[in-house]
Amino acid sequence: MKSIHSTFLLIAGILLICISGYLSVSFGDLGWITPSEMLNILTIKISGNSPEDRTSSLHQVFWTVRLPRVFLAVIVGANLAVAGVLMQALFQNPLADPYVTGISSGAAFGAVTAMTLGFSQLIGMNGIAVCAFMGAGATTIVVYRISNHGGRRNAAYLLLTGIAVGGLMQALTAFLLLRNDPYNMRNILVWLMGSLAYRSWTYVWVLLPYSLLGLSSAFFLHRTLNLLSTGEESAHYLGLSLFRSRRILLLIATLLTAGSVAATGIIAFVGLIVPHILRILLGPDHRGLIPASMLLGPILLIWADMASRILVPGREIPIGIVTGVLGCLFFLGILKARKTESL
Amino acid sequence: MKKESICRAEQMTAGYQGPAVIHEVSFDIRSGEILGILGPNGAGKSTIIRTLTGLLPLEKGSVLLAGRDRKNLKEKEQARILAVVPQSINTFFSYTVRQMVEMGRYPLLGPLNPLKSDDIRIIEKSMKTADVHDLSDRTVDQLSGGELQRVLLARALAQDTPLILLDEPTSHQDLRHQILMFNTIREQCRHHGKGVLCILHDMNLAAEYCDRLILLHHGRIVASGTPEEIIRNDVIRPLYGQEIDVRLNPHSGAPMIVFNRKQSNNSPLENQP
Repeated sequence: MKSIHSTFLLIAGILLICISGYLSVSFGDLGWITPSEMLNILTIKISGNSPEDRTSSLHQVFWTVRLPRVFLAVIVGANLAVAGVLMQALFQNPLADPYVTGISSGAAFGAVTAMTLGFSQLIGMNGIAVCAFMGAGATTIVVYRISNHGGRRNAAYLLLTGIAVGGLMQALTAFLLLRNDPYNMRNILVWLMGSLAYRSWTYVWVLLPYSLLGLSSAFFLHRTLNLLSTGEESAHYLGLSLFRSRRILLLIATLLTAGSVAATGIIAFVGLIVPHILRILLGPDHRGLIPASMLLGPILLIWADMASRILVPGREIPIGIVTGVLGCLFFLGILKARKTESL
Repeated sequence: MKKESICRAEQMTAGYQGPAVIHEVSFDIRSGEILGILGPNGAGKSTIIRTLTGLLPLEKGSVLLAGRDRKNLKEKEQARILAVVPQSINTFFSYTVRQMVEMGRYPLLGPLNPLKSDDIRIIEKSMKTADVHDLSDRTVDQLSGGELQRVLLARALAQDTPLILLDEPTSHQDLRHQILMFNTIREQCRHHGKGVLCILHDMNLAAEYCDRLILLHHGRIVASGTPEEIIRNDVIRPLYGQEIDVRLNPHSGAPMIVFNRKQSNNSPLENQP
């Protein structure tokens, strides 16, 4: 019964991603791509024939603009949602996510450093990703160590440390921005706000190995995450190596966050919203939570991306603004629901 | 028949990043036996469990588990030898009772191995034994302190280890469940050959159920022996500063204390080592 339920949810999730992805690639500045036009575009690609006028521009836009954008939304959505799940178990706090804990800001600092120093021209996207990873990793370690108050993970300490270290990283990023010329500064600012626009297949291919490595590792860790969620002392009694587990989780969460930030900038709160909804729907068992996050994260990000293209007529806004507003409402909702409990 | 030692602590000294809390503590936990630890608040009783399990590093001494030095055991290997029932736990997410008890099987499973029918049978049996089967679909945040303690006992039983360490397992239990819990623990010893270490405050329960007792004060063992040797006014009074009247339980013949509130001593305890 349980396995039928899981199979149904898996199929429903994949179907929803496909439908959302179809809707997302179907509309844009050139108008709707009808199902017959899409079929035509796919046939042309497979047969290798040259497309006609309207089909030609649609063909171009479909393959080089809209499709990589949806693929990127799928990968980044899964990465950020799973990173949120890992951090919540690691920090033993449902409010932890890559943005709240300042890790995204650390990754952004690393990425902006790479852009300012010109690494991106030298070694391309990989240079940005590596620097983002270093920035995110350093921030994670600092936040984790400071929030370990008297041997216990304290939620209030975690949030305050995340805000403080994240604030420092933002200040350092702003300082670096001033060292760029106005043109670069504008580009970096737009990138910082989080966007899936103008991302080519290169971004997808660079991000894919980091994501596959991080997501597949997370898939094997559901028991570790369950044990950690019952407290570190309890997890130790059940045979978990706290030393090794903490490091592995930090590494994977940092990898997923840094790769995503390097590709799309800061897209906040995905790691907070997705696990929270799924815990209400499926319960806290990470055996279901991890794969479900890999499905709901992409759906959320595809729809947020569509909203970012629709909300302001004739103009696209960064997707980070959409998830920021959603996340803020969500965050306040959680705090209100927990107002009788201590943080 | 000589009972086999499952755990041997030798000259165990440990503390929390400061002066040692327990000093040169030595004892054996044997199969089929309940070893009780008694002592005033702050005597270092819970520290003994934390040190035995490796949560606190040893400053001096050693711990042998099933004949092997604990330092040479991996965490999972250790969890297959000993299970712990803490006083309580802070769960950050609302797991069901069944999910909590299932976690007791994790040390025996590979990262992706699902629970087999044998595992499920043991989980069901553990929940029934600890009287939490009816709560199996409730989430842990909906449980009382006593119910949560029984869930933790069920989890430890599901772990199916030769050694169980219990930290005040009846501190939140009503009378029926205090007796049920200790009958369960004794049944595990007598019929399954498990060794048990149990931290207690209730001297009557200790005298009734434990085979041997250790009396701890300021982190040192000040007396050890059978309940008849320990539950005596001349042994208890210096530690607790309280006169006790020891009688015999008419049903079991075990020592039983009766306190006299008129002889109650409200003056501070002497700081004796």
